[in-house]
Amino acid sequence: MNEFLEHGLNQNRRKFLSKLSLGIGGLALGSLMVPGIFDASNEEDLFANVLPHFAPKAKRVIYLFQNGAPSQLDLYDYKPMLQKMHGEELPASIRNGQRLTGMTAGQAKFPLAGTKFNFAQHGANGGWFSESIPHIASMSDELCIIRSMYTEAINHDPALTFFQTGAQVGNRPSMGSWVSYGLGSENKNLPAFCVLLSTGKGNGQGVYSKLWNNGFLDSIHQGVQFSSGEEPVKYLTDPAFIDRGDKRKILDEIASLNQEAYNNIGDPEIVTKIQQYELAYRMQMAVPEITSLQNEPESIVKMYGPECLAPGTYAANCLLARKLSENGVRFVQLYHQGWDSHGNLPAEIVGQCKDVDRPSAALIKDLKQRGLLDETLVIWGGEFGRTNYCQGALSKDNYGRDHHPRAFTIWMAGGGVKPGVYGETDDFGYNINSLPVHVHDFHATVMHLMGIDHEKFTFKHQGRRFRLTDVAGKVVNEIIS
Amino acid sequence: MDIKKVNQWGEWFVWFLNPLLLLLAIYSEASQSNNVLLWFGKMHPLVLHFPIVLGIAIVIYFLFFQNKPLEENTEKLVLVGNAFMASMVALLGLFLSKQDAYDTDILNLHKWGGLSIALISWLLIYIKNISTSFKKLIALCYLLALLFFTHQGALLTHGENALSIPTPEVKVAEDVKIIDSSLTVYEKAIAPILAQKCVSCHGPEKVKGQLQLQSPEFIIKGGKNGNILNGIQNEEAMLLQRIHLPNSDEKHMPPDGKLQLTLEELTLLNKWVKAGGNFTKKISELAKTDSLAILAMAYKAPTKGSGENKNNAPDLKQYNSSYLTVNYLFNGSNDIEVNFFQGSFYKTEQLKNLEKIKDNIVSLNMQGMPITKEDLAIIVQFTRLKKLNLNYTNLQITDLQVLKNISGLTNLSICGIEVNQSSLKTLLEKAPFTEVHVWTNHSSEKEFQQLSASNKKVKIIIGDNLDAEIIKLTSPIIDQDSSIIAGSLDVVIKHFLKGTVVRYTTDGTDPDSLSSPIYTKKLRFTKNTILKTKAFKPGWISSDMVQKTFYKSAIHPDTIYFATNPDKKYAGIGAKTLIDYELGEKNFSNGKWLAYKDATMKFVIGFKQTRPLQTAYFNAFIDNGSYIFPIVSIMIEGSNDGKEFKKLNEAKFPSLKETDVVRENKSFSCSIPAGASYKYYRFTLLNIKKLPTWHPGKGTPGWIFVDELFLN
Amino acid sequence: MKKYIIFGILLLVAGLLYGVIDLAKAKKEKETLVSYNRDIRPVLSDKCFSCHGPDVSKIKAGLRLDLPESAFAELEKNKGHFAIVPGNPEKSELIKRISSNDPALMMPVPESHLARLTTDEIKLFTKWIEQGAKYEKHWAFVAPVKEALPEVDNSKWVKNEIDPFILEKMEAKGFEPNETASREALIKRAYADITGLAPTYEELNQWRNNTSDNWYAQLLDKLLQKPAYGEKMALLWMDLARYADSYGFQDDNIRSQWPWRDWVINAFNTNMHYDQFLTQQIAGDLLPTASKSSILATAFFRNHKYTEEGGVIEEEYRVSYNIDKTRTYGKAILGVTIECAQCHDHKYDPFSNKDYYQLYAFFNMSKEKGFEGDVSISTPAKNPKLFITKEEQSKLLSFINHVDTNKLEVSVMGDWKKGDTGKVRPTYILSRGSYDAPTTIEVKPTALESIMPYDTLKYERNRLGLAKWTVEKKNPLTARVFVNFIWQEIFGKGFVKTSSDYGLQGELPSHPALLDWLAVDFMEHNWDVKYLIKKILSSNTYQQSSVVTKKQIEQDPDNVYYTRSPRIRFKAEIVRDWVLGTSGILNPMIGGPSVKPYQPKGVWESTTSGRGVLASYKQDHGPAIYRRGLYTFIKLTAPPPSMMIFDASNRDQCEAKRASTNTPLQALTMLNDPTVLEASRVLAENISLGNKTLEDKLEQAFETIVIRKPSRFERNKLMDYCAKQVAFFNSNAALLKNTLAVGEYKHPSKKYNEAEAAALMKTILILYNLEETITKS
Repeated sequence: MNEFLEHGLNQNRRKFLSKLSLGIGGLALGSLMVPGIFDASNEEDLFANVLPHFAPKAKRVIYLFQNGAPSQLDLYDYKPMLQKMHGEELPASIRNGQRLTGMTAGQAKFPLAGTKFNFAQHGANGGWFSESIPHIASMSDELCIIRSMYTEAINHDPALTFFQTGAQVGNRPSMGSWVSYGLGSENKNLPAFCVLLSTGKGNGQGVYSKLWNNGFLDSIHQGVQFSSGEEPVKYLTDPAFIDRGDKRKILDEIASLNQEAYNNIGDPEIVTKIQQYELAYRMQMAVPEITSLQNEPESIVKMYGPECLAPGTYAANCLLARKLSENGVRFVQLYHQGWDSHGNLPAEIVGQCKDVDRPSAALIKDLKQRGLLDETLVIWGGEFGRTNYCQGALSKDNYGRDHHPRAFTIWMAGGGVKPGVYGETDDFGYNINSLPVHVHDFHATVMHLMGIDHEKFTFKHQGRRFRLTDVAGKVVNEIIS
Repeated sequence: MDIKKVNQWGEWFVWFLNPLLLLLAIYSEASQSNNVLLWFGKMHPLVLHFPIVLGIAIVIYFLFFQNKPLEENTEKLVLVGNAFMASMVALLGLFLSKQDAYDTDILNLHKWGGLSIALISWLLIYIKNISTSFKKLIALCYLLALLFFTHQGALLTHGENALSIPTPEVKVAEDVKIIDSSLTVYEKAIAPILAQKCVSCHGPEKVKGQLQLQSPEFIIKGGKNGNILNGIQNEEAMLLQRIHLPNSDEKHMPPDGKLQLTLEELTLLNKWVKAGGNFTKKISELAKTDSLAILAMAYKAPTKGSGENKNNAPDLKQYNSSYLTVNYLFNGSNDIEVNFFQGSFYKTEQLKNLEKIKDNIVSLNMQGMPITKEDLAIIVQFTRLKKLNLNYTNLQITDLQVLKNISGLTNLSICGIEVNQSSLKTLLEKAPFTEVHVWTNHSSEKEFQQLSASNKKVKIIIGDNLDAEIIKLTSPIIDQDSSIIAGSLDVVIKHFLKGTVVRYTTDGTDPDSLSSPIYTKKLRFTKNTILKTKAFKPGWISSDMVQKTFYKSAIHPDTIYFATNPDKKYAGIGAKTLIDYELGEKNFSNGKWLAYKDATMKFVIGFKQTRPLQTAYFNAFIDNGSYIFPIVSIMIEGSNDGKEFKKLNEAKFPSLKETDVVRENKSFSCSIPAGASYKYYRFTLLNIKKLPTWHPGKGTPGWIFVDELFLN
Repeated sequence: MKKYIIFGILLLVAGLLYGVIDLAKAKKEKETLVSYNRDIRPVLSDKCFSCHGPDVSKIKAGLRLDLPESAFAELEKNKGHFAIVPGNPEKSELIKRISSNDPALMMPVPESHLARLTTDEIKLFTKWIEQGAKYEKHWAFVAPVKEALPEVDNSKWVKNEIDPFILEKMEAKGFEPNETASREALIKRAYADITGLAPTYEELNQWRNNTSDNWYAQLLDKLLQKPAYGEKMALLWMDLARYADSYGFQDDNIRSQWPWRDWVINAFNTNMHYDQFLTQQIAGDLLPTASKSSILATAFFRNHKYTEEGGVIEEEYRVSYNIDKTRTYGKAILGVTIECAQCHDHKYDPFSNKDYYQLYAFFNMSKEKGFEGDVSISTPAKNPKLFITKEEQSKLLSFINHVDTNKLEVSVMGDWKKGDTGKVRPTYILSRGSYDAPTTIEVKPTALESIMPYDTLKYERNRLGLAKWTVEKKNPLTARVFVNFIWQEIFGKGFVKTSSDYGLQGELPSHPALLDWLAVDFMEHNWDVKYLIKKILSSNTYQQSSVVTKKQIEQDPDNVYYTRSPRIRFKAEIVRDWVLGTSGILNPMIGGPSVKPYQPKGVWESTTSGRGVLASYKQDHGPAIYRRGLYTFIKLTAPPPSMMIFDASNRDQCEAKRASTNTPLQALTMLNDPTVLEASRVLAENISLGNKTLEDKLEQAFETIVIRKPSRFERNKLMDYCAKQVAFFNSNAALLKNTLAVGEYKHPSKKYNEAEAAALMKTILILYNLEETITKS
């Protein structure tokens, strides 16, 4: 028995150490704060010492998630054929057996709907863009446009969960949590993984805290919700009747009393607690300094659009994303709702683009002009695409589109991706003709850009070694510069 | 003190120490190492020389000076002293041996040797009365023991070639800072492996199995079983055979207990031998994709002792702090990137500290740091710097000239630093930069383009500047959630863009850029008010107008109850919903609304005493897309017993036209004739019972949604 | 001279003797048998089973190391060789492979990215094979038995049967137990563990002054009678049952499962025995004596998420719901994780793909639908439903706390009967576990046979049978799992750390004998939960002080040996309860629908799709916002932040153990959460009403919150701060006003010294922020 217990004891000793440093780090904001948080010697944290596996192309990621699935056919994937055949039935040979959502399953006919927007080619790589996104189009030479994305889920929740966690169901860690776990935070005063939320005018689908959940990883890798408002982080602001000096006094009292308790009881957790209160105090100074947008020069405000000063808008979140990113946050995840246009798509998508076009482009310009784009990977895309046939009533210039997992478009910029257009769909924009990219491949590629071999990057949980890419995924080398 | 006493004590000690020594030696395997003892052990090398010298002296004394012996006590003192020291040294030696960093065979030899020396010197004390010749014999053995075993000790501490003629060091590219592909695979990887894990036994010192591995000649020559690099027929080469045997096998190399080969090293040796064990092939001559080349490139010889720390580059932990991160580019790289964060915490010392690793730093980010010339002076010492970010540092462009001394500095960002065409031009003259990020005011943007056009070798990225562009302001924000005035209500109007002028009106007119009052401090409303506000700023298109209606609610009824129940799905928190001072939003299923469709809305409010009322306002929601229409009419009745009601007044309201597309909150009011004063008032709100023919739901009843009642 | 010799000889002899004994001891150590369960299987399962384990589909070289017959058999790929030759390591291929350095031979193969075996592990394997390579059945799948209490030296330390087991290990390690904790500490501890609420100032004094020798026993009995006990116990069960007040998924509309929560609270308070407790929740609807109450119990299985997203594919979700039910049954009740077997045979545990769907079949007979329509026609419950009218509630189900008169509806279990022709749904194994790929292999409802045979003569092939099988005393897991949960609740960790995984990958129990003893004892006392809790709290192990010594930190940092009472930060809900309770604003009402207390702005609004009743957060007012944490409304897509910050479960899935972090966000919450500020204010106001000296008032506050008398140091420190604040507020009326303006709770009607109250308030805020306050120690 002895050697067995001895073994157990050693493990505990290790856990104990890690627990301490983890305590110092703390939930979510954990990676934040104290240097050496990732130096603990327990299995989970070993990666900090071996990652990145190789030279990373991207140090940070900004993921502009377009929640609800924007229509690739009305933004990036130009299909004159659809306009020619507007109103005609989708050939069964094209659809061959693709499953339908309950919404169109009942539909007797599947009339093709050509986009009502004018398209034009922009930039050297000749990417096509709809007139509704002029600013993004103007950045064409920076963009790596993947027209051949496909996924497995056909409903929002599973599809979104799949994109964020690599699995359609269950409590798996989010992409950002994986990165936080693997690489930690650059700036010890900010979490490695931040989440920014905004809602557009279009048909919303909601987001779920599950999407930035740490799953079985330690809770310090959970995404932390940030905003540019008065309270950038929950419970950060002091009550009106307590000023800084006052707060300092209170903290000193607490510290000295806790210290006394430690002298009597001797539990190291108490020391950790004392540190937590110090860190909290430091945070109260550091975070607002970074999240306040007031001091941005006017030309920047114009670049992102004046909405960027109104807390909670997509524009504000893009600007905040840049500030967080340049301050060393590894993974900034935006969600912008409102792309789920089952009906009245032309009107809704214009509204969405009004919110999204200018700031998205501004973010790239801004990073570029600061010399940060080459080390920051920007991703823009939804959880799946939309059908080439109409959902509901089709008129000359009004139509809706249902969910379409089989082929859709996302783009990336900076962070070591090669600008250009990758992959191609058929004339109906329904199936992928060449170079398909699965969600797992997408994950594998992003990990690769960050210097991580997705197959070696695992976490042992309930006896199984999990990875973001589950058991699949191959790096798309062609889009890496 | 009396010499006899000393001897007596000494003898006691000797008699105690030696048996103890014996036991420790026997059970030393079992006993655990312990830092205190180890620390004592460290004194072994210090003290050992005394007994050696003394011992030799004694031997000489025994051999040649028997005829004129010392005075008895003196002699004894010497012998006892010697015995004492010898056993002491042996003891310390035992402690030291616990720090298992030594070749075990030599160690054992030395251990027992040292022990025997101690024992003999113990013996020497008591051979006074035996025959001289026998004495001499013992003395001689003593001498030999002394010389041989102590040399073993020397081997342990000073290494194998302690007393042998130095041989030329094996050429080993162990600590090449930059990974150099011009080295041969052998130099880069194989030699280091062999040197670190094999040469100790197969080298100039021990030549076990007649095999030496310190240099190519010897390796090619092979050992007693001949060539080790090519196997006979299809057999595996001897070298590989041996390293691939299980550790348990006594033929396995390196032998159990010695530092083992890592998987990486195994694979390297394996591939190298299989590739013909070539000594001259450079890494660069192999295909980039050749796994041997890749492994060889990546290989870093472990530093002595620990196999952990893969490269012998410095540990960076000490340099990191809450506001400064210092990391290797990736695992195994020697190149370091440095990021400073949050200017308010910056101190020059932090930068100074990095001087120790200045030759490894290739990327430095100082964006937003309040740095000065002397910080720059430090930065210039980072001679391998490739990328430097000085955005928004309060430096002058003229300060930056010194940066040209960093020959490898290709990528420079100086956004936010004031530049003009000429100053930038001078900065770029004979500069190593190939990519520069700058910012400029709109006017000189053109000139910069010309500059970059003229200067081909450097790419100038000019900040996208939009001074000229004219766009629309965002509307002001009315920062008051409640829209109900109980007594009085303070309202704040916000706009986030600096220098914006916010104008407002409360008289229903639209604010204009000239006459309307400018918002300065919070407004206080005491009666029903429609607040309209708009933002203005030179160089911008003025914002859209925003407005909000504030309702006075002077009177709060004591009781309220339904006469007819609302639709189950929109029952709010019961009748109280109407007087909870909470307005619903456009999402009408959020539980803040009461709705009626089939039934007609009827409810009663009551007061403890009779109370006159002037007007009743209802806040209602209209959304004809969702079949929600305006209130058709409001009827008010009064009563004092809550049973018999008397009609007081009725107000009718227009319905919608086909062209209307409405989705908004609207206020409906009904006044009460003066003089009327009751305990109970009953309200009847009529909804449209048949939707008009132009509406998709024609013929069916429409909804009314009501969320609040205000009484004055 | 002689005396020296004699002396020396004596020393030598003594030494030799010592040595001999020592060696003999060492020998004995070395000769201990290698245990398959303890030493070998964990390694096998970690390093080998992925290719040579129970998962038939993944087997390499036809070798299974989990079965002796396969491991001892001649190797298919390598005739004449054997993986394991009992008694002969040299001949055993396994040893060759794990110790080989040849990339081509070595095991685990490099591609697997699995770490290689350590030399110690290799030694253990070699010895195990020498000793005959004896396989053992997995410990957890063998029914527990009561072992005789171990002999211990310090027998006077033993208070009840638990202590010998604990003490034995301690002594084996040369540890000494801490001395008994102070009375005040015990009072706080017992209150926290049994009721989750602090004693009132009066109660505290009453127990402090209780002079009888068995005051502690009295205390336990008293507390176990409090209704708060049921609420405290319910916390654990809510996590296991993934209880939530909304449906989850995108629109995340409201639902009403809370009557089931009331049922659970009531079950604990009436001390329903655990076997009954389970039987009713698993099969209350199928009992011959089925009543509305027992049907309500089955809501346990209906607490998982339900989609209301328009246009989902019904079957896809119906299947996923059953998968969740199966997982929850496995983790919460049997302590096994079977979901892996959903797509393939379990990699580590003896659960085949078939076993999984046999268990799944129990839930597949339900009338439940995969989709009942989108949020626009959402109802508070989904079929099959239980309707409860006001009358029924007030007569039969009086434990349900329901004020308004509307009929209640709750989602409960209900199967298709033989009668409903064509409706009874057969279960087929789904290939890769996907709903649209059913195989033709039909399976019948059967529990996990590798744990205990499912005798269809004794057990029906429906949930009722499953329930009987589960609470069968011979079932090796049920009792162990629950006892372990309770121990985990009290000591912060179970004997089995992986308290919902007793499988081969789970951790081994730290005190196997004690776990088994308690499990058996628990069953012998008819699964009496209160008995179990009293037993544990009566042990001396529990009553130790929590002082931590340097030695303990170095040698027993994780308190494996229970050398001290653990110090555990309260659960999220208890943190809230403690603050509300001590300040006197707690609303002690039991049960009822969940409530919406203070919450930071925009938590719901920023995530909502804009549809449904829960699109925006409508905070409650009045007594509702002072309910216990158990009743805080849980919206799945945006759970209450103050709870999440303190590691509460997000209720997305069955959760058996919460993390316990210590973070800056927690500090910020305790400092700035309006609840804490308001509590401080109200307590301060009430205390300042009394006519004591400021110092006494301070002392009262301290004892009320920290549950002990302050030390002189503490008293002086606080007094000093408080006095300064009084002076400050006396000279700063404006600030005084809005300091006392915090929170909606009414000010005392009587006159009180406001400056003093404000000063006390800030001092009390400090007290609430002490580590000790929200720590059970």
